[in-house]
Amino acid sequence: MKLPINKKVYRDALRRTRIIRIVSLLVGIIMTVNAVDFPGGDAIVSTGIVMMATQATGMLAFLLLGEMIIHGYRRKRKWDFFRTLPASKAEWYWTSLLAEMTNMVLYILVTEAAVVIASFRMERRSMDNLMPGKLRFYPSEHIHRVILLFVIGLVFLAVLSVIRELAHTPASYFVLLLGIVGGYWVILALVPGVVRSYSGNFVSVYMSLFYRMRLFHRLMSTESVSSVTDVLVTAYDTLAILVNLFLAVLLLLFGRRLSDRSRVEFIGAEYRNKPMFYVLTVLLNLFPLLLITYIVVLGGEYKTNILLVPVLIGLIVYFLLRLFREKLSKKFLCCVGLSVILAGIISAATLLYARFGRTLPAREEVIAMRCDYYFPGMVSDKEIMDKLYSFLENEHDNPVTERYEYHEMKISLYTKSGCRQFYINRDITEATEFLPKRRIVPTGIFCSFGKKPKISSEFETYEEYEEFAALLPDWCKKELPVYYVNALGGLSKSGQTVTVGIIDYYRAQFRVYMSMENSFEPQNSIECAFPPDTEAAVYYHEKVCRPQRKAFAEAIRENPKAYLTVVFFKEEDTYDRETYDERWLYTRFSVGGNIVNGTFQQKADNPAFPEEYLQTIYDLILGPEEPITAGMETAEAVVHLYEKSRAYVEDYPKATYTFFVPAEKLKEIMKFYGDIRAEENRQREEEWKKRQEESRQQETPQQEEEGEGS
Amino acid sequence: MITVKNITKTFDGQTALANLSCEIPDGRIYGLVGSNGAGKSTLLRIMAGIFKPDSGEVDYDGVPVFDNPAVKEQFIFVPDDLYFLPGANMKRMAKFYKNFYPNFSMERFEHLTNVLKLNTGKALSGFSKGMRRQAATVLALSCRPKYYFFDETFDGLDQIMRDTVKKLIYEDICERGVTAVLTSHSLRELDNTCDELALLHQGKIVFSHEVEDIKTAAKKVQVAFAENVTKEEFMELCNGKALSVRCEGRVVQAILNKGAEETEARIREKNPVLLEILPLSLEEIFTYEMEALGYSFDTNGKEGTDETSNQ
Repeated sequence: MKLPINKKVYRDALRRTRIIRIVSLLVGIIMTVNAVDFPGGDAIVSTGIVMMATQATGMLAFLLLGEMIIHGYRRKRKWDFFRTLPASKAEWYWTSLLAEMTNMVLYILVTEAAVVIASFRMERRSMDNLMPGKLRFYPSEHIHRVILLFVIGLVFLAVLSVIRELAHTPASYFVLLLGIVGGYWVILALVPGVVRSYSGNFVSVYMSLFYRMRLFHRLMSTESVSSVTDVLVTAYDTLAILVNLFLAVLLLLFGRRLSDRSRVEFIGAEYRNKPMFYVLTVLLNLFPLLLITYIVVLGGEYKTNILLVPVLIGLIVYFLLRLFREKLSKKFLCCVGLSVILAGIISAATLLYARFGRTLPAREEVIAMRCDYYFPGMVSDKEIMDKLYSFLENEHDNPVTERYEYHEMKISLYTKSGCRQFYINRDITEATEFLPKRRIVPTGIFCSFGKKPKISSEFETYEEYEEFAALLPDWCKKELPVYYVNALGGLSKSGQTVTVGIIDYYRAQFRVYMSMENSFEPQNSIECAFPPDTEAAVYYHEKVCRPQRKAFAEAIRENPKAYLTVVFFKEEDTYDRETYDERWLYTRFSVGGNIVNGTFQQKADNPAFPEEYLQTIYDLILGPEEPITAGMETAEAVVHLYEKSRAYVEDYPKATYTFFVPAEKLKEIMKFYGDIRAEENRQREEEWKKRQEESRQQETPQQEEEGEGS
Repeated sequence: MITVKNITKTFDGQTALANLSCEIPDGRIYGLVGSNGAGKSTLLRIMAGIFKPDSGEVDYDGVPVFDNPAVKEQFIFVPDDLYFLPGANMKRMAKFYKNFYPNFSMERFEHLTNVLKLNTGKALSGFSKGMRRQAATVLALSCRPKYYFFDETFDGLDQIMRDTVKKLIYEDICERGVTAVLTSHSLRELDNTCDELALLHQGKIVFSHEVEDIKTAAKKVQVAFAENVTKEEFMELCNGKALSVRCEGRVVQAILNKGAEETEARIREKNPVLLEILPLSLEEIFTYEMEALGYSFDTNGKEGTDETSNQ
């Protein structure tokens, strides 16, 4: 069988899209340079999801650009022209697709090569800096990423090819693209909201494309299959890949079929393929309909989104006028009717799901729980879980619908068969009896080991970590086995060891957050706390912190410059006014791309925060008059730290400023920092002693009473 | 030879071509004329393999054209609505065509651009309408195909340039014995260019003849009789061979179709006071034929109300 590939068409398509390859190369170079020189660059490289998103976004943008260049805007004239040239329809279709795929593959390879080069360069730099470093190049991971990107790109190309065959004007092309892609996203985003709404704001479902992609990615990263759950997960995700590929192939063949049936060009759906035109218009109608519903009714924040409503109404009016002008009004009205029916079906389905979803899993089935407001990670401590479950059960049986001021709380229940999330509107002062009142924020140090090192490595080796873990109290250790998250979001114990932990010295206690390697929820962790006078605490100070400080001092001595990153953030998902004002400042020091120290400051802990604190840092860095040029990770390149930061903290949940400072200045800043931390530590120790004293006093009368009773 | 067999094409329920057939022998300049919406461009696009007919087929020496790159290599189509690659200049377009047409001649391209004084390095988007038309013609002629299809090809050209372009096309055809199919709604353009003309109306070919035959076949007659004559009487005299008759008392003006000599003899037998026989231009023939088919407009905008039309 002769392949429908035409060399002339291929050569021409490649020639016309050479700009894409040039830009791809430039992107690759920029990525390589930035990944090394930009602080936190190693984070970009080593955290696959961030990098994948960047790469994938760029790739999709380039694919769209390539589509425009190869297939043109003035579609009718263009295809009239191309159809006269000596090539068959099949050749035009498959060869141009091949050219687009060539560009895509080149883009993926170039950007992935950039990541690999950056990894090696950073590796060397780490060695030069005498900082604890690990090899960051894992061929299998890069291969997995390349395959994943390829599949994503192929699906996108397939969607584009179908749209191309159906659209009859540039406007309708983009409308269809927006409609299909946007509609898909909106439907995915909407379903949990609708479910939640129908269930009395009590339950939601776990559904997003990212979720699916993470499943997919996880499969690509799974190197060994060791248990039944692993097999199930692998089978499920393999199916996901196959479905994606099948979808892509199906769409491409469908696009080809449409092009076969075309009369004039590859376009003109309203004449050639009426059923398809109906389907797509229905989707287009659904898109704004759902969006408005989502924003106005379910979004809750009516005030903040009000501006979007006229924009959407304007868009709808524009499309209506356009369709009427094209004398498609009758068809359009049919489509509106169909859309309403379709929306009704979706609503009915979600309603049923919501009713079903209100059911709480049985208490004994729950393996772990999570309550974002009170603790960042997952808990499996039986006592806490019991209290939390009872609280949830009470809410479930006696829902309180009217409260003037409330905090929205999300509680997740993990069972073997899946994860279910429940939303509760709760007064902030209630339901705190079983948990610490304040949300715990990790203020400590990231440590990582195992096959995929993370940002920083506090422990040089896994053995060192094990040595540390052996010193932990027994009740803490029982939390250490990691739960394996299965494809349905459920948990199972598969005897995996902890791979990532966050150790936090907070309020006279160490807290260990254990993240799970196989989790696709980045914040999944297990929390346990122990007093500071244990062997583990001593070990942590002596074996972990001290060598690190030494290494940091050496790094400062060896390097003429270092980086200081200041991250401002406020709690994103809290609504009560009290915590709203508690903005956080995270200051992170990094040398040679490695974070060597970091701390969190909060206004409640330090009354001078943020103004005086920022002013001090500002003065220390560049002096009181001079504005700071910051390599911001957000939008602007130049920012006056002191003035702008306040605005950013107000408006955005997180804003990051990174700038380099001379080593001399850094020492001063460190000293300033050290003073603050010393004061904090002193306060915490006092508090700890006070609490110890209080509990001792409480125990004494009880013992006396018991003594008397006996 | 291009053979068009029983082509029918409808767009959204509207028939553009209805069971149309014709043959275009090699080495000819074939002109397609007709009113707006007659189906000229559609026929040309079907011949060029852009449209697929609902029924019937077009073949080149027995080989169907649709979706057949081997046949498409043999012709080039210059559409009414020109298209060039975005941002391209003539050199870029020449390279593009060279890629697709094995007979593309760079020498001829350079020669023709010199003759027409076209700047090959300038972006085509910066060309005027006429210059773009010239550029498209030059590129087409440089491809040296076996068949040319020009759709409204003289649109936007001034009279001198029209003559020049006609000459270039004519020279190429004479030199290489190739075939050209030209469409126009203006017969004046095709008058002294085509060997054969086909008149299209409402998706059908009304007539197709050698240009010289058409010119000699139809004649304009002005007769003054001694007595008043009615239209019916004159029609009877012409034996149905008059395309158009206008009677005003004793004076009659008529367009005679084939067999004008016989009719002339019969008129002479009636001893007219005055008999004048004048040759017709193609444009006049086209107009009268169209009127005969009911395609005319009176001042009130009503179609086909000419009382003198004979059919």
